[in-house]
Amino acid sequence: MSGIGGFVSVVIPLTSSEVDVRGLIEGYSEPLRSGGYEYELIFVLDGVRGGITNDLEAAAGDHPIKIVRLQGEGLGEAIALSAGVARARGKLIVNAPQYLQSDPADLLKVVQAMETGADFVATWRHPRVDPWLNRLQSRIFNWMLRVIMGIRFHDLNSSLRGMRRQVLEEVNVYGEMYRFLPVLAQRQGFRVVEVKVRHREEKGRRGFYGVGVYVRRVLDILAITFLTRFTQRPLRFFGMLGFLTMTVGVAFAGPPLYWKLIGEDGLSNHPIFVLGMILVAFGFQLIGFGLVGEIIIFTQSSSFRDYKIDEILEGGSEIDLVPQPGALPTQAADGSENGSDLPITVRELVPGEDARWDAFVTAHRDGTFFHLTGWRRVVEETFGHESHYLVAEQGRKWVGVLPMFWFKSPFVGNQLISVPYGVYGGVLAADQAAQDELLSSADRLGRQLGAEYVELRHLGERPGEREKNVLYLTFFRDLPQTVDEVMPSIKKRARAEVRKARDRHGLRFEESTDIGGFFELFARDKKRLGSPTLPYRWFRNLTEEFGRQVVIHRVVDQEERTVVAVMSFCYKDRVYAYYSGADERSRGTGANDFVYCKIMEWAVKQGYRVFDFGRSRRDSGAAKFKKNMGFEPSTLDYEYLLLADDAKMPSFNPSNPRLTKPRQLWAKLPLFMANSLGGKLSRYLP
Amino acid sequence: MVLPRSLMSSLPEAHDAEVTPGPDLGRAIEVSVVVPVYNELENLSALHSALTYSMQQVGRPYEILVVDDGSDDGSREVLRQLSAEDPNLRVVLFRRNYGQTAAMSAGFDYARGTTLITMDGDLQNDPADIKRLVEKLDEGYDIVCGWRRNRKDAYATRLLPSKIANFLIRRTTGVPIHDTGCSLKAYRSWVVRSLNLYSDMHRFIAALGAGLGARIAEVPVRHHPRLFGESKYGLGRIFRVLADLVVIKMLIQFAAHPIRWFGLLSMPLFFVTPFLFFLGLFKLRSTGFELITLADIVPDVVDGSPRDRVTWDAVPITAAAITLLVAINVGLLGFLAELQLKVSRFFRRRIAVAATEASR
Repeated sequence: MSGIGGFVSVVIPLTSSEVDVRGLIEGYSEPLRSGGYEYELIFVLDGVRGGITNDLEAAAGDHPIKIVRLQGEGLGEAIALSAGVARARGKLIVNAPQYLQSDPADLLKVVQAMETGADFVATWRHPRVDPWLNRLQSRIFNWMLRVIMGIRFHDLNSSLRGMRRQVLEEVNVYGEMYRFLPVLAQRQGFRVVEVKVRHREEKGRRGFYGVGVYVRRVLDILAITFLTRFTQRPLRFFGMLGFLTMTVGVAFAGPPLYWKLIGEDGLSNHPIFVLGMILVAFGFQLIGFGLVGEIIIFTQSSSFRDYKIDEILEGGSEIDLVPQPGALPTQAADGSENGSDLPITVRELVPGEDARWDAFVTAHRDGTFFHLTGWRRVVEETFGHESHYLVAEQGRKWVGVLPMFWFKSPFVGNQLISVPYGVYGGVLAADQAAQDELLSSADRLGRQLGAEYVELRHLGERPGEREKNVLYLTFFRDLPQTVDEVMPSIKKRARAEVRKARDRHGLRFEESTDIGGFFELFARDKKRLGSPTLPYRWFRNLTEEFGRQVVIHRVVDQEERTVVAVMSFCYKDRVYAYYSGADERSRGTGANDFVYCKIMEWAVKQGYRVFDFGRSRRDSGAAKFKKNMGFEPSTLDYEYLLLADDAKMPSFNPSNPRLTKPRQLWAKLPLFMANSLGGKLSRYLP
Repeated sequence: MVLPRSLMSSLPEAHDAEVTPGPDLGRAIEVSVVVPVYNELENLSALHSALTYSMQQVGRPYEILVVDDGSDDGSREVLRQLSAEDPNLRVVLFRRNYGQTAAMSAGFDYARGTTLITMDGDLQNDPADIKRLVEKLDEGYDIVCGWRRNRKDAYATRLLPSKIANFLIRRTTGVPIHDTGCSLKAYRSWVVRSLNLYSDMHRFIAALGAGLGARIAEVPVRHHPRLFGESKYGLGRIFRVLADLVVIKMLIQFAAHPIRWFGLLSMPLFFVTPFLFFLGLFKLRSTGFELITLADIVPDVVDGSPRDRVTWDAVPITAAAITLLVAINVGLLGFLAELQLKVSRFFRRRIAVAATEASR
């Protein structure tokens, strides 16, 4: 991200196709350009039909635009904004309306306010030039807010807003809450400022807002007050309310009861006694609700780690805490200073060190997506395998890590795998000493657990000799600099397929968030190949854990049916096209070549440098396909520490001839059966 | 998570009492001092040097983990400088102000020691007391709380409310701690790892820990008036403390079966129901109470004319129906709570933490 001017992502939700897109693009680009900013315009299509994509692309010219199409329609601004921000590159986000209601030049004001330190910039259209009824409604609405909730904003309906990305990461917006973003942001402790913008007659928009709009908003205000104040400690709210209700109840019911007891008067002459008792009982119920709330909060509290860290300062900055790998062996020059003469010790990762682990993996040359602690959480959550994440320390400096899972299965036996379900894994160490220390710890741990061997899914050479399995090849290559160079970089035959898919079959490529749709194709594909599928849960957990690092792309045909879907992981400078599924209808349409070509183009556009096509067995059809796409195979020799005396190299893989029959059988199972069985089986298949 | 002892080479060995000055890179950290700070600019360097001195007195590998809760008074720059010079000082800088509990739980998340000390950043606690706390912990306790016997605070606004609150906390939780509000406490790391802190829960770690089976002790500590800056608490927390106490009580006593707690809550209503019903059986007449009989309830159809008979007192019967209904409702809420606990991974995690500790 460049320093001067900065990078601004403008997110524009579109709900109507009758929008002057050229005017929008020009209007929003102009001030940013003149202000010297780098920027992108992200159009989020919320239920817009028709050729608006083409219009946008035609109007874009050399303006950098992205188009995000939401599935379903009328999802609302909150979802549109989140979806747009998910694709945004900048830290400064401007949310702009689809009608130019304010002077576009005011966009600059908003951006500048953020640059001077505001986390959120609300705008105030002043003076207004709306129809009088809108103005009146808006004024009443804002006045109510001020009086009821003490909100000091003048114009919550103005949809031109600026915010830092972190605001949206922390403030949960949904539904109409979107309006109150500035309020929510302020409640959470962000710096919110308001700037005046000039109001323009809205082009393309006529008429009045209905009164119902405001009724809904008032309800939203109530919901917000409630949620922001009382969700953390429900009993404080419900308890108070319940206590008050009971007090009132006792006040109503007490005197008649007293009269009855002393024989003064029958209760039937005082029906208020019933009301009193209802209130008392209701008070109990309210307290009960509060307690249920507390239990929910208590049991779920681990999921709101409600703080975000800017930075961790490790003491004594002269000590290099995340060593730069590659310098083999130890840097002896400054050895005394960073404690290289100390012994290396190995221990397990303790809770709270996940961030440090991930930082180590990210800094290490060989660190892959599968080394991250997120992978651990997803595997544990989905399959419940026991994990052993080892850290090698020299003094307090980390010199190596080794993630492992203890995998016991009737198919592959008892083993430690680094890491299952991932194609890469293994040791990440600063030098050979650390690596050896980690491997001997793994060896000891493995024996302790009664494992037959330790499988290290190493990508790239590690020093030392170990048993190898030469089953797999892996495919990755550097991406070209520009999008236009992607096509020429693949082989001629594949290129023809891509063209066929695009021109003859009219296939369209897009990003998607539809895990279900992806899973359907993936599972059916797997079954056809005779392998058990991974459970749906796995993919959902992946997307939940990694967020924007997991992307789904899909290709739809002219009837809007998804024919190919690919789930990719993005980490460091690399895009891993990892899971895919194709519809049988896509056969012969070139959809497969098309989707990968497009993902490569997407990756280039997003600034990634390496495209990782993943592993394939030697001489398999997939390997051939990848070669056709212009990839050269690299060997991917999984390495093994054999632990048991009679341990043999594992031979359980789909090319094993013993498995041919079961695979054919599997392919014949009904899909629902294969899916549910496969999801359970996959626990035992690393 | 069973790990061979050979692998755990970084766990504390028997420690010697000798003072190790300066950076102590060779050994794994035993004691982590967690200090949440928010705009404590004037106190920071005094705090750091006092802590460093007293940690050297303790004589075990240590780290000072300062969590800066989004200070905007220049504390960050001071911390940056201090930590650059001291390898024993780690600083977690929050993006913005998240409050004390968040700071505390970040401290627990990032601390590496097996013994954790918490204290305030305002120097009202005396770091020299840490030694006593750690020694007490060695006697076989899991939580050692500081007790500010001579508090240097205003009586009416701080001392009295605190005394009332502590009395209530002692009575309800059964944990004999005199000074829950004292931030200077020592924990074994497993205690805090088993707990998730949210809202004001950090005040009740001792009580919650007791629910987990931790052994708790108390040590008198010194208390200084604030040197700089202003106090960041206020009056008027009594109701909140009460509500929190009910929750804590529920969590430590009934966490495994919240339905019992709800059963208890619905008890009064269950008792009121028959009483109201009973009231309904008496009709008040000019001569006093009279119990209705079966003959009074069955309508007299023989002669068709109304006779002077005693009838139900209808209102309390209605009320009884209502209280019964709500009593059952409240009990069923307990069922919901139970379900929530079942679907959450709360117990699985707690067992995992306990098992890890057992293996050490």
